[in-house]
Amino acid sequence: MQVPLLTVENLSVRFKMPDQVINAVNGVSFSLNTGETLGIVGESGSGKTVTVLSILGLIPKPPGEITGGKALFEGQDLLPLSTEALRSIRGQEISMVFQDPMTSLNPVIKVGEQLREALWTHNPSESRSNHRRRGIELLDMVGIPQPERRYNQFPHEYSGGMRQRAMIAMAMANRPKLLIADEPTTALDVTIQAQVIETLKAARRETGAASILITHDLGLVSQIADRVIVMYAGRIVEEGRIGDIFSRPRHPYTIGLLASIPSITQRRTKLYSIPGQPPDMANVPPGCPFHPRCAVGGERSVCRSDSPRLAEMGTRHQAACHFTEEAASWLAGRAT
Amino acid sequence: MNTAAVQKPILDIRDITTSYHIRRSGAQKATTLVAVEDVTLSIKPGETVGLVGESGCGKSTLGRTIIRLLEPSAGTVSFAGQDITHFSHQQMRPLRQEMQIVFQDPYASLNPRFRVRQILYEPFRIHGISKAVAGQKIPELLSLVQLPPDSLRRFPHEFSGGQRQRIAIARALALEPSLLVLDEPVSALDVSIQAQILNLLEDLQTELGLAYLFIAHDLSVVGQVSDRVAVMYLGRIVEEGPRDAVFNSPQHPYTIALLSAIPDISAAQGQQTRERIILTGDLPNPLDPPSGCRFRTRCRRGDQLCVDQEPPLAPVSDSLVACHYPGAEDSGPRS
Amino acid sequence: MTRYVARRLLHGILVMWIVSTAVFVIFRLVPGDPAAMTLGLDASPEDYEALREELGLNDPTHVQYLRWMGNLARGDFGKSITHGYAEVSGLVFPALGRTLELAALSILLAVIVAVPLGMISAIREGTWVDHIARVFTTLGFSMPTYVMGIGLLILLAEVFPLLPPGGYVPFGEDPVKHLSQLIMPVLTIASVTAARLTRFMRAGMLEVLSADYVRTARAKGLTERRVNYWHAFRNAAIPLVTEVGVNFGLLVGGMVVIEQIFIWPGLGWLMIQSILTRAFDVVQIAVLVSAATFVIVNLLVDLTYSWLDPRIARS
Repeated sequence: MQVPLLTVENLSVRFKMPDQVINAVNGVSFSLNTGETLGIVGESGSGKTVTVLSILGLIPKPPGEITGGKALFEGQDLLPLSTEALRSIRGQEISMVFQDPMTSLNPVIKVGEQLREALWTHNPSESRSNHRRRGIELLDMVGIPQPERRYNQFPHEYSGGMRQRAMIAMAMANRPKLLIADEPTTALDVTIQAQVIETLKAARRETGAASILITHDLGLVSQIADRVIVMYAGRIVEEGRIGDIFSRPRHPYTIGLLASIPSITQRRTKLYSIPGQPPDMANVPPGCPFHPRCAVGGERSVCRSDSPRLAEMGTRHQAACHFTEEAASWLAGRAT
Repeated sequence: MNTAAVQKPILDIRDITTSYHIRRSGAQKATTLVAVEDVTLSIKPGETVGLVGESGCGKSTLGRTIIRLLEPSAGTVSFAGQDITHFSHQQMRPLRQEMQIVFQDPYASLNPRFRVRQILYEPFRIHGISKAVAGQKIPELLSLVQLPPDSLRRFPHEFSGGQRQRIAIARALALEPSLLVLDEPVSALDVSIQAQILNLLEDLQTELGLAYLFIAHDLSVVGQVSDRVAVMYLGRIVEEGPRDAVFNSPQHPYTIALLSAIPDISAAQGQQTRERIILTGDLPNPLDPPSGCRFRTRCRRGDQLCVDQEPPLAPVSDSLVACHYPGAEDSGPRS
Repeated sequence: MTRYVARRLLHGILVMWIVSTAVFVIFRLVPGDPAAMTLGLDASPEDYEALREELGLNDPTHVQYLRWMGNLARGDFGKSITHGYAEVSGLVFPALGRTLELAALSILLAVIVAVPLGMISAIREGTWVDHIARVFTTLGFSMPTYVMGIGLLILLAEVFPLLPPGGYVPFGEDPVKHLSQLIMPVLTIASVTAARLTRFMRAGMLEVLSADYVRTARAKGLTERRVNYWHAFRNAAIPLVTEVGVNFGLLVGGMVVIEQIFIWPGLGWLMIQSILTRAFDVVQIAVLVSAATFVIVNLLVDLTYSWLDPRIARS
């Protein structure tokens, strides 16, 4: 059994607002092996982005506050590290690609300069011309045409897809061991999305980096992840390998989510829709946070009082539900 | 959704062109951006026509032209058999009741200082309908979109995104329109909420016999709700046909690429997958579209003919396709 | 870019034309004509008529207007009757120079204080540094300049007689005295302007610090210093240029009270003096020059802005 590259144990994060406390992440644990791709799926407010930002110390403090847990990267806990100590991890060992390429690049600094400083900050002894050459190579690697010319341009002279490629180039600059991509294609057009995904895959192949893909798009996850974590109300509700999650989901939320995606290959007469609204994170329902919207447990008292723990469903497949058996038969009932 | 019987279209647009004049800072002359060019489309009562394309393809401009929020520079717009292309603001007034629009962002399209009751009363007030009538209708609207009756006293910020979109739909339905233009109505919503709204729209159509023009960039959503689908690229319709024809045997290389680019969960579920086609390059600048076929710069089939001549929209099997080398196979003169 | 400059220049000229027309209208067409203003109420009818003739006030209005505009276009600002037929430009421009000196030094001092203070206050939001900075800005905002000026005067010239209580000696004559005369007016103006600029800088910096690209910069592993002073500052500084320019323009025209308190013979002082001595021919040019300065400063600000912000320069 290999030692995982990243192990997150019981991570909890909250945001203390003047009038309320938001428990954004509640006891999240997962691990990631070298070279593996993990998808984290959830809707807005599910805590998926906060989880990874906390690992790198990138949540604003205050109001953010990590209230417990560990994030072991190659055995070292990142959470207690100072900003200065984290610097050598950020961009070098673990790097990130963010959702909106329009706002994630500094508008008044040339793209090449932004790329060069990612190299420079971790290898200050190397010459400026070396960094420049390497920067142009990176732009070329992510498929930006005329990289020498593009190197000296400002972000607004790039199209949306090219900006995201430049972000990927920047993230891969120091050949990190882990690449975290937070909704990397959500802001892009469909055909450009496909290009950027290919670029991400190629970059990952090139460097052998492990990756975490955060997205609300189950289709996207199914295409590039090895394993998936499904989050709801700051908790992991289900985790497993791609095939298990998509073919044998056990948590009613995962089942509902999969059933509410329109398919282009086969037209269903009517989509399933999960009733109700996403939870108010300042006021999460007691017990299982999904119970008010659940078609399986619903009004049963155990669901209203006890928060279910993640339980093994099979090999590397876990779900947090009191009635996974019923959920499975409910799914079978829906399928027929 | 129900297939419309052979009926006269409620909306019929012919050879519509809509352009914007853009003045860039420093430039002497205003440039003309032709956002929609030579588009013909019709919608029958009770029918849903899906309009898909990427950003900047002109789909929203077309939606706004159809309900005459914009005036086309050429072509005709007919509503229920009446030519309304050049109707004045005054002439449009009674027709505004018949066609309504729902926008993408339910956060921006509802006045934050109005209570839901006021928001829903607005359309009645504008069209001079008495408070008594409106007072009777407003609770009915609320139950149509499945919101609790106590919503009336609350403000938009007290609702979630999906609920706000329900309010926007209720407002659009207030005057019993026969046509609803839905401009990306679910793209700002979470997956689970998206399905709720799509189902609601479907129920409303069955109940009220509405016609929809459903504009979206997401093909799977369009495929779920549409009877017919039109695909736009750089201001032109490149393919149009019945839902199943467009989705199951697309003929235009752009439609094929678009469909193949959608990440689909079927592979992970162990089903057969489609071949993925990755288009190269970015969208051309709409201010300076390529000569001939606009798609040729990103097309694998193109040859000299595509450079020289713009392909007309012509029947291919069940659809209309604007391509010199149409076909479901990804083949062409080069391969 | 040249096209942009040309357009902005044309725009400036248009504004100046409107201002000079307004000055013409105000000084000639409102009741109480310039001849009466110059001579006062007890002048003899003969003197009055003679002056009217001399000033061309008996000509039709459009002739007067064309003459006025023509003279301005040639840069001929006329001679002042009240000042013994001295060239008006010889009175106005040296005064403008003295005002610009005061305004420029004040702005410079204000920027030197406000930029670091605003930045630190934003970076350390909520800490004691921030609280002190905010007390300072509130004070600067709430205190009128004349209160501040008179307070300084009492403190530094009366109670502790460290500085001269005002007046003006040219730099060339006595540099030390010249500078010591500058200190109090500059401190007064700078403290108010610095308060305004600090608040502006703090707000701009806070906004920029929560931008996505700042998070990207952190995620790359850059030092906090580089994130704050390179990535964030560059973006926050661009709107500050406009704010500084606008403040400078306002100062040039708004120094009337300060120049009176410290007897600094600048443009504002000249205006008041000329009004008191009924030298309308000086007042009208002083108003024009003050407006022109404002327009030119604004033009320079816009050009700097487009040069600093690549998004504007290239489009």
